[in-house]
Amino acid sequence: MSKKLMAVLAVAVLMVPFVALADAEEDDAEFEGVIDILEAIVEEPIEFEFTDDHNENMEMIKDKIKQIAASTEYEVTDETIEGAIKNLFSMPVNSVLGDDAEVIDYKIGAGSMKLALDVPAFLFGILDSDSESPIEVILNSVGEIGILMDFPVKLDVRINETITQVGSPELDLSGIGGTGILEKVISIDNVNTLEGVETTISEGSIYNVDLRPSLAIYLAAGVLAATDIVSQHSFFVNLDLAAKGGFNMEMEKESGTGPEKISSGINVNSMAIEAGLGFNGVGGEDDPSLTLGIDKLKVDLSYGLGIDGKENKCTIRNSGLMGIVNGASITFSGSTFAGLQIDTSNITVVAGGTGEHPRTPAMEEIISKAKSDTAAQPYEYGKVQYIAGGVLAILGLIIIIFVSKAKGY
Amino acid sequence: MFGKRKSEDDAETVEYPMFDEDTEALEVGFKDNFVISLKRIATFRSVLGILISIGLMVLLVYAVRFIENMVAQSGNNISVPLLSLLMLSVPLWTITTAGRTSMEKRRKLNASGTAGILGRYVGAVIGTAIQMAIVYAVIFALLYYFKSDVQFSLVYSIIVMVGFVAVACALTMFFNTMVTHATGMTVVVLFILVPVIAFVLGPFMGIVEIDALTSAMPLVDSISSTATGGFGGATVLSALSVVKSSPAIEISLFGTLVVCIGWAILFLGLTIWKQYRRESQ
Repeated sequence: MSKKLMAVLAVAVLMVPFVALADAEEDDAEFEGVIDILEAIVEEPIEFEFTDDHNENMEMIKDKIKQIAASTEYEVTDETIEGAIKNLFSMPVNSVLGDDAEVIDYKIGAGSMKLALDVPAFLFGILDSDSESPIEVILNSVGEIGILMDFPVKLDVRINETITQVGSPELDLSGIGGTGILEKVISIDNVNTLEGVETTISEGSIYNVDLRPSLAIYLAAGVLAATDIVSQHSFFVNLDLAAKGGFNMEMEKESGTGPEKISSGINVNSMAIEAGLGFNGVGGEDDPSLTLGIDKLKVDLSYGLGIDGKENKCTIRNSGLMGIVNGASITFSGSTFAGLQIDTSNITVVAGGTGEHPRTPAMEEIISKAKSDTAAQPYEYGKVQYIAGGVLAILGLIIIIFVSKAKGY
Repeated sequence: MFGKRKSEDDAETVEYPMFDEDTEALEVGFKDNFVISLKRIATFRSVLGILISIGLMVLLVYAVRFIENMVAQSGNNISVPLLSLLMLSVPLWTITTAGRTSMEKRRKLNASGTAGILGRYVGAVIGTAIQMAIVYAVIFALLYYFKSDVQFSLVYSIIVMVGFVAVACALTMFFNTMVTHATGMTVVVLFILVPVIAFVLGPFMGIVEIDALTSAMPLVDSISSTATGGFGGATVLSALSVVKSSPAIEISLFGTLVVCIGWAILFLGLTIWKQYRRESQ
């Protein structure tokens, strides 16, 4: 049980950037091949410095991926890579226009992209389905993944079927409202923005899209337990997620009928989540207890959707309540209560970086960008503080001076 | 009970408009009044106050454990964060300490002259800050000892606390020119009224953005919570998130100090004005 759960967690953490690749090569995306690629990236992070020349950029990407694949049994062709990149760029477009929008052409502009990984060796052992030998978990080892994107992409998008709504038509917020707790911990204004805007774009319309990802994401997962997983069935995984930057998209109509301009973007002022997940299978493998501990939850992001200059914007932030409930841990147990206590203080151990490999310069750069703590406060409010403080102080001083001179009024 | 105290006040007013007969020699200079305030740290009342705060903290730790055990028996195991209880209690301790240091029990403000009142005030702020710094250090140690989990930044919290103390002392002294129970009034205004007004105008009715409101109001939380990366929100405002979610307050440390000191100077001005009026009447 724990082995399976470990594998699921590890895959969830590590597979994100490879979803697009797997999509493109559905039948070929064998697990072993992906593991080999991951191992290759652990050894050497992927770093691209793009230029204005799209073809040169594409060559750069192809060369790098082929170079990584060369050390594995995984075969990649130019078409696979092109398909994967197209899929990757389709995701943000589809999130706004729906699945009926298709990327027909793309051009990568000057900028940079970095992907760095550190995966503890034992995780590879778990993922490797051929491995029969017992797995020895190295405790306090931390897996890290960091992605840094900062480059422009120009896309041509064709609408294959008439669209009646842009935004996130599939998003159903009634579920969030129903749970109640999330609604209290996360504060969202202008919720309607998240539900999209009704507008019609006819079939066959073509849009020129300027995509500007400028985002750093860092995720670390560490296994921290005072015991080995296999015999005790208990461990806890600590997660440390940090993100900063934005993902903005400007669409302009080239042909067809529909709005002239559509803009959409997510801006992450800051996002930091530190949480621990404790697992205890002592009560029986099929009846484990699960402990969730939250050590830090800081969310401050805004989502905007504009159609022909009409902007809809909503901000998503952690509520003041989070200041009170942080540090809480909740155990969900099955019929047998196993009573594993999670110590949330260990969660922050992850942040220190105790990976098996020394951190690469690329990873260091991604972490510093993802965790850079610039004030989330917009400048105007910073100014309000100084103006308010200054005005009050001057008012007070005038009263003091006037009263002292006049002795009584 | 309240009525009785009021009549006592009236009796005092008749005898001597400003000061009680048993007050020590009238001090008007900055330094003398500064010393009067600062000396209050060493009074039995202040030492007792600190000891009670520390005792309450230890009690809170055990109360949290008791609640945890009780919840665990019901099948779920929820660990209650100690910080939540401290967030409720620390602002109250700060205001009551400010009250103890900036005024005398059951007596209206008995400092005179601009320099005198300023001396009283500065002494009170420094005195309260020293007392609260002791309390904070104990909180820090207790959190570390019992939970090995310190989720608030000591240095930041102390800086925020100084700003908060500046407002609390000024407001207490201002109320003290009018009533003898100024500490209670400060608690009501600073701890309850201000956050409730901010909540109603901000998240509840949506008239003003909470960020703009909190940038101008003396709405500070005396614990800087590292977990939310900010101040975690003022206590009552945070608690009101249960009614309707309001975003955590994120205001810059320096800006908070500026706003607090601004309000403090205003209340100080009003205090001096009130006191001169009392003297001239």
